[in-house]
Amino acid sequence: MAKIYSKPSSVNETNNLNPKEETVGFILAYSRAIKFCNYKKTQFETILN
Amino acid sequence: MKSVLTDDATLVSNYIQGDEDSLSILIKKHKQRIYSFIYSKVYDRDISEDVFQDTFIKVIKTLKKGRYNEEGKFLPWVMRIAHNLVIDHFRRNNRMPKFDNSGEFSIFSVLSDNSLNAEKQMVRDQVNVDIKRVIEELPEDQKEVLKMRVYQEMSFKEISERTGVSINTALGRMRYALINMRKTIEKNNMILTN
Repeated sequence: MAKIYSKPSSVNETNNLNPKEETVGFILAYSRAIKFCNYKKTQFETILN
Repeated sequence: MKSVLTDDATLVSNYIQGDEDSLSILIKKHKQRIYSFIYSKVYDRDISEDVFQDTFIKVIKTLKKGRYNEEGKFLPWVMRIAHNLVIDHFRRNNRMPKFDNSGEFSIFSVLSDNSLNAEKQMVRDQVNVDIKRVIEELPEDQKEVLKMRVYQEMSFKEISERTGVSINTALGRMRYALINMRKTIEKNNMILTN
C-alpha cells in the first residue's frame, strides 16, 4: 500500500473561511463613497475622500 | 430578520436604488462561500483578501453603473467575477498555483531529481575509467569471468559452459578477480565512489 505523503486539506480549512472585517469594511465604505453621474452620453465616476 | 427573508434579487434591486445596507446584507450572506472559493484556488490568505475586495469593487461598479441584468442569480455572477479575477491574478504572476513548502512536510523529501548534475557526471565518468583500468590489470582468465558475470550478466553455469571450466573454477576466478581488484584499488589509493 503506497503511503500518501500529502496532507489532506480538511473541509473546514478551505470551506469555513471568512474575509477580514477590515476588508468587508473597506468594501462597504467604498460603496458609500463611489458615485456615478451621467451627463449626456458620458458617465463620470466620483469617489468621496 | 430582513437578511433571511429578503432574496438576493430584491437586495440587489434595493442596493441599486441607493440602499447601502442591502450590500452589507449580501456580503454577510455570501462572504464565506466567495472567500472560501477564492482561497481554494490561491491558497494564500492575503491574496484571497485582495481578490475578494476586487471582486466586490467590480460588483459595486457594475451595479452602480446600472449594467447588471438580473438574468442569472447574484451569487453565480459574483463567483464568476471572483473566478476571472483569480485567473487574472495567476496570469499577472505568470504562474500556476504552487506548493509553498512552508509546512512541516517538505515536498522535496518525496520528489528528487535523480539525474546527475555536471559535477556528478564527471565524477562518475572518472570512476568508470578507473574501474576499467583496474579490470585491465587482472589476469586474462579472471578478467574474462568478471566481464561475463558483471557486464554480460551471465550466470556462473553459462560462464562455465562458455569458458569450458567447471562452475567452481569460474566462481574461484571471480573471487580472485574481486580480491585482486581490491588490492589494486588499495595500493593506488583509488576512490571509486560517486
